[in-house]
Amino acid sequence: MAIIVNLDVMLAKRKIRSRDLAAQIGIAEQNVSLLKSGKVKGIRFDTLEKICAVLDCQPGDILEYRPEGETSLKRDVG
Amino acid sequence: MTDVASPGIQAPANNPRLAILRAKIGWICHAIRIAVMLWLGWVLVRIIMSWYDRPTLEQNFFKFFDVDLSSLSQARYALALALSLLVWTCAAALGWFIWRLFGGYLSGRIFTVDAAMRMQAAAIAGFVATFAEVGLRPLYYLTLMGHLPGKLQWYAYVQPNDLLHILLASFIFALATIFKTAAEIADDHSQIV
Repeated sequence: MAIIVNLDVMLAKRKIRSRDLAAQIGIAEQNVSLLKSGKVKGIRFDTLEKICAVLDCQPGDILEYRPEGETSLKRDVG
Repeated sequence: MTDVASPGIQAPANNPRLAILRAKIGWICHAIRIAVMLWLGWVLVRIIMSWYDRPTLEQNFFKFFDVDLSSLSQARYALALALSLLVWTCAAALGWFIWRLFGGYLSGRIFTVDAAMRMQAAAIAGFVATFAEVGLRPLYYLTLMGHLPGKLQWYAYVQPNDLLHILLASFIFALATIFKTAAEIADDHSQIV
C-alpha cells in the first residue's frame, strides 16, 4: 500500500509505549501494533484525532504517502 | 456490529450489543439444539419400534395402505429397515450441522464468515437429507411392495412435504449467503481502527 504509517517513529520521539498510547486513546494494544505495522485498511478520524492529541503531532507526522518505488523522506528518529 | 471476524483485529473489550444479543438468543439456541436431538431420538425410536414388531408393522400397512406384507421376505424386510436407517442417518447429519451452528452462536461466533458458512453447510445438509429421502423412498416402497403388483402409489415417489423441505433448505442457504457477504463487509470494516 502507498500509505505508510510512521506511528512507531512518533512513539519513539515522544517516548511513549504502544501500550500506553492504546490505553489513552481507547483501542486495543494489538490494534495499535497492527496500525504501526500498516496492517489495517484504514483509520477513523476520531482515532487519528486522539493519536495526534496524545502525541502532540499532525496527521502528516504519522501518515505518509509513498508511491511504489520511492524511499521515505521522513524516517528519522531524534 | 462486528465481533472478531479478522484474526488480527480485536473487537473492543466492551461490546455490549453483542453481549445483549447473546443473552437474547441464548435460550433459543439451547432450545433448538435440544429440539433437534429430541426429534432425531424420537424418529429413531419410532423406526426401531415399528420394525422390531413385524406383526404390528404388517397390520399397520394393511390398515393404512391396504397392503398385505405377510409374504414379504426377511431379506426385503431387512433392506427396507436399512433404507429407513440410511435416511435417518442423513437427517442425523443435518442435526449435527444444526447443533454445530447454534453451538457457534452460543460461543459468540455470530456475525462471522465462518458462522455464515456453518449456516450454508446446514442448508446443504438439509438438501442432502431431503434428496436422500426423495431418492430412496421409491426404493423403500419398491422393496416392501414390489412383489405385490399394482400396489405402488404416488406417495412412493413424491410427497408435498418434500417441496416444503427443499424450500426451507433453499431459504436457509440464501440467508447464509447474504450473511456471509455481510460478514465479509463487516470484516473489512473491522480492519479500520
